[in-house]
Amino acid sequence: MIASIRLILPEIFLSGSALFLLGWDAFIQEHLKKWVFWMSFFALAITFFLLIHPPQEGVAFGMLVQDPFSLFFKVLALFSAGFILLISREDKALMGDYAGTYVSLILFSVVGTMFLSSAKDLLMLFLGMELTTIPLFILAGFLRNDLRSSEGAIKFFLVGTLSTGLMLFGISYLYGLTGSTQFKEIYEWFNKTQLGNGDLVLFFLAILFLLAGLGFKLSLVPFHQWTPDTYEGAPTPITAFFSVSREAGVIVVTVRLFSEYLKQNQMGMTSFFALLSILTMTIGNIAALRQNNLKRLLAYSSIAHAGTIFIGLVAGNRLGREGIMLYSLAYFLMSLGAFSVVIYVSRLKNSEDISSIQGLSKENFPLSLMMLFFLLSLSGIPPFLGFWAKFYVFWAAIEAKLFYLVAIALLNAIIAVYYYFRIVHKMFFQEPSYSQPLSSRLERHYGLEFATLLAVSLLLLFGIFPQSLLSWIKGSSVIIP
Amino acid sequence: MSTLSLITFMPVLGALLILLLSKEKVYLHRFIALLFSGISFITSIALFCSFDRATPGMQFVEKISWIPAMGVQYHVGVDGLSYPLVLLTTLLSLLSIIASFNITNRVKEYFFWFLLLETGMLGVFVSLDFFLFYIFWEVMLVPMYFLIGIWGGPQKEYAAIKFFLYTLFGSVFLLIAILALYFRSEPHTFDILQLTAQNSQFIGKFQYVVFLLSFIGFAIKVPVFPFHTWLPLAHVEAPTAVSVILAGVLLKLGTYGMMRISFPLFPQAALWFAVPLLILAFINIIYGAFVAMAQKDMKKMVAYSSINHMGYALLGMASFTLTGFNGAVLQMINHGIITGSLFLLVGVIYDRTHTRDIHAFGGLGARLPIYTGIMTVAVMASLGLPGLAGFVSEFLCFLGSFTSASQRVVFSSIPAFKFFTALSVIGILITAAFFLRMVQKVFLGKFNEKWAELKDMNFRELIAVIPLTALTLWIGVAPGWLIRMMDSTMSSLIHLITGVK
Repeated sequence: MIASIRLILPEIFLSGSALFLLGWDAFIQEHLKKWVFWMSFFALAITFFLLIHPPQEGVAFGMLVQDPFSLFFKVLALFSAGFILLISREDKALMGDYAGTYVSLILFSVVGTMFLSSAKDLLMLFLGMELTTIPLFILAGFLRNDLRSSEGAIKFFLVGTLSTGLMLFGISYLYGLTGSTQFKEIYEWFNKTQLGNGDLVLFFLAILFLLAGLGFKLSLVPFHQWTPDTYEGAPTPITAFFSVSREAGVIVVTVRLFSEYLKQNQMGMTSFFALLSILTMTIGNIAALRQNNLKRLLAYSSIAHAGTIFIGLVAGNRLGREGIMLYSLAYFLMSLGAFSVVIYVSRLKNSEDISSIQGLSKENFPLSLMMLFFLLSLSGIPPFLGFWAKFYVFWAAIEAKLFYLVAIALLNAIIAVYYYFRIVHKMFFQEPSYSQPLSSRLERHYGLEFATLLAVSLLLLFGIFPQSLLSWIKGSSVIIP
Repeated sequence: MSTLSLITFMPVLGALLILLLSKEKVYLHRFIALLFSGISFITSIALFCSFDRATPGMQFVEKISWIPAMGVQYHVGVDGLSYPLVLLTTLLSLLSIIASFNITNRVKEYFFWFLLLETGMLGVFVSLDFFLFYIFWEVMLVPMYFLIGIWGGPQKEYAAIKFFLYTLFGSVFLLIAILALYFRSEPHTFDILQLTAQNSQFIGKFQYVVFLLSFIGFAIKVPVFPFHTWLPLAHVEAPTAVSVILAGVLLKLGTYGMMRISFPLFPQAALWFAVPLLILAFINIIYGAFVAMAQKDMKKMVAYSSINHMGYALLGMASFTLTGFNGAVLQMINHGIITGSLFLLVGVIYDRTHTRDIHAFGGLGARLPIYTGIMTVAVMASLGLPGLAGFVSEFLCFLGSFTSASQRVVFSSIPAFKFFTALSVIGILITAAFFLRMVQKVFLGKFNEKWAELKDMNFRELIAVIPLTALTLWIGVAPGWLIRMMDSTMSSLIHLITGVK
């Protein structure tokens, strides 16, 4: 009991801090509100400390497993939350009157992601998923006066509940068939069951329902329709949070379930998973070609990236798992970086249209150079971390002899370069358009600037010297059964 | 830091320095670009003294473990194949930087990208790790995209993205080849020398498939027909100095890649591919020459003549004889020098008149004696006049191809190599036809009074072109020193390929 509690102490502490911060909104004094930012940072730091000092290993309550693999994603989730807090620090609409609510919702979502990273039981998977997404429903609609924000939130909510329903349905079938919600026991049931047993049909049906639920959250094609609208409508820092934290939490539980327990290649579902991956990449990329809103463009590109990350799962080997970890980390940095630049530009020009970034290199050369680096990293051009991530995933796929998948993914990478370079083209080749009012030009955005600079330097540093990062990931890819 | 790393990374150091300086200090940017690419050039010249011509293997090798987790090393070195190309790259970069001193728009960015490009190109030539090779190969694309897209001609933006996507498409094949090789080799490695040493492991269908993958990756860069469609647009739209680099160095990366990677790693597949390569070379020669003949724009003409000239190099390579290989490498160098100076010279006249139409001029010879003289030397060298550089290498390529040991025949009894070599010689004739027509229209005949105010070349332009003209004459009269530099490496390469039969 005590040992189990120690294992989930970081999650308990973070939930407590989130509750505390929620109450902080009762104070209306301006100077007290400023404390929210620092307190939340402090809470994240303590949680981080509890996680890594000393790193715990074991199983809590038979449902949550603490292993290097989950630790990696928990650290990632904490860092992404810190990053989001940094970039939303100067945003009056978010960190204004309801700063406590805003921050506590983010922290709750992070707790959900942390539970997801550890889940080894379908119930825990379900709980973690809900805890991750319910705060996001609210956050997506946080700008109450903005119609688009509400629209995105409603769409996300409807789709989210539907997918939860589908998933629960699948889980109930699995429980009925196997008599357990533990990943391990379900796997053992599958191993024992003879081929040709009628129950297997039901079993695969249940797996499909479960996959559909996870697919909605991962925005895999054909469950991706909500993504662009929600991304466009949500406040941009939240969009960035969407594309990173949620993705990481869901992918880690998917990997745990389908590469460690119900191995997809053992179930003979490799082609099915490969098809999902190909569809997701291709449709995401093709749809991104025609987008004129930067957030929508990045939304479709995030769908495409989800498809590429999925290749690591299709490969189903250790390299693939490491590739997923590396890719999640790289995607975290480059996507947050790109969104930070979008936030910066939209604060200057009050527009998220692609034309707002026109001629940026003449107005603010360092900013345009950083955006270029993020876009190069997203396109997978060396020597940025994005390249290593892509390469690692492809490496895994080639080891699993999935040549066709790599070929298709590489062709997709070329399509992606086209739309990423549309942005580059606007930034560097065109004259600035002064039609938009250059409001708040003199205001400094320390949090935002710091976050962007940090992301770009990490991308470049790890891109040129990836060794230490790779050995950390290799050490962290251990899964405790 | 050791010599090769110094040569490779000097330019990028300069680029970072430029990035730190304010935008207004135009002269300082020019000076820094000149200084750092100058250091690179002088160091590569200094290497000449200690370069051992008798050794076929790698020299000045540096080997540092870079990413042990993936088995990637920082492994660089030069041999008789890559060293001449390194020299060519540093020389052309330096001269192009001098030639681009007339750029006044966004000078800081221009030299930043230019220096980055130089590091990328040098990196490809010195890399001995396939992975490192690929990284430099990709890194090079981005600066080129900006250089064409910002400072180019009317269609620059389209040309830039077309170039970028086209060459990226080529590197897709290369990446698959790299990964396939890694998993086939035992122990797994990216090291080109180790891969070459264990090339007997690459047998069966595997070697043909991977050979073709890498071949397509490189062929797009050369460009080999039918992958040439990016070239005219990019060459014509790019600013003068960038055209020089494109034609002078970038195209060689393709042929270099074939000789460094495709041939030695898959000798059997390479010999099997000899006749298709021969036919592709023949198409390049004839097609490039005919299309060049149809051009009115001088820059386009020179661009298409590049396709034709790379065809000669391919012809020499297809022969798999020592003469042919020496000729091919020499042709790469000569084409860099001659076409580089042609692009510079076309740029000179374009800067003054803002037209490149050969019909717009006439009788310039009397008004611009220096320009006419230098241009005539370059043109004559390009069409293969004996006594100038172009003739030596083209002759060697033809000779090598004609004496090829291949037993293949076409039309039931004619030896394939002799047949296509003979036909390819027609290419020389067509080249002579269009270049002489250009000389006639532009420099001879009645003077077009519209250009009465035209001034001859200034000091900066002369500094940029004269070294190339001098080299053209020197190599034309005494090519021995250059051939001796590559000879031992080439003969060991030939031995490696033909020995496996």
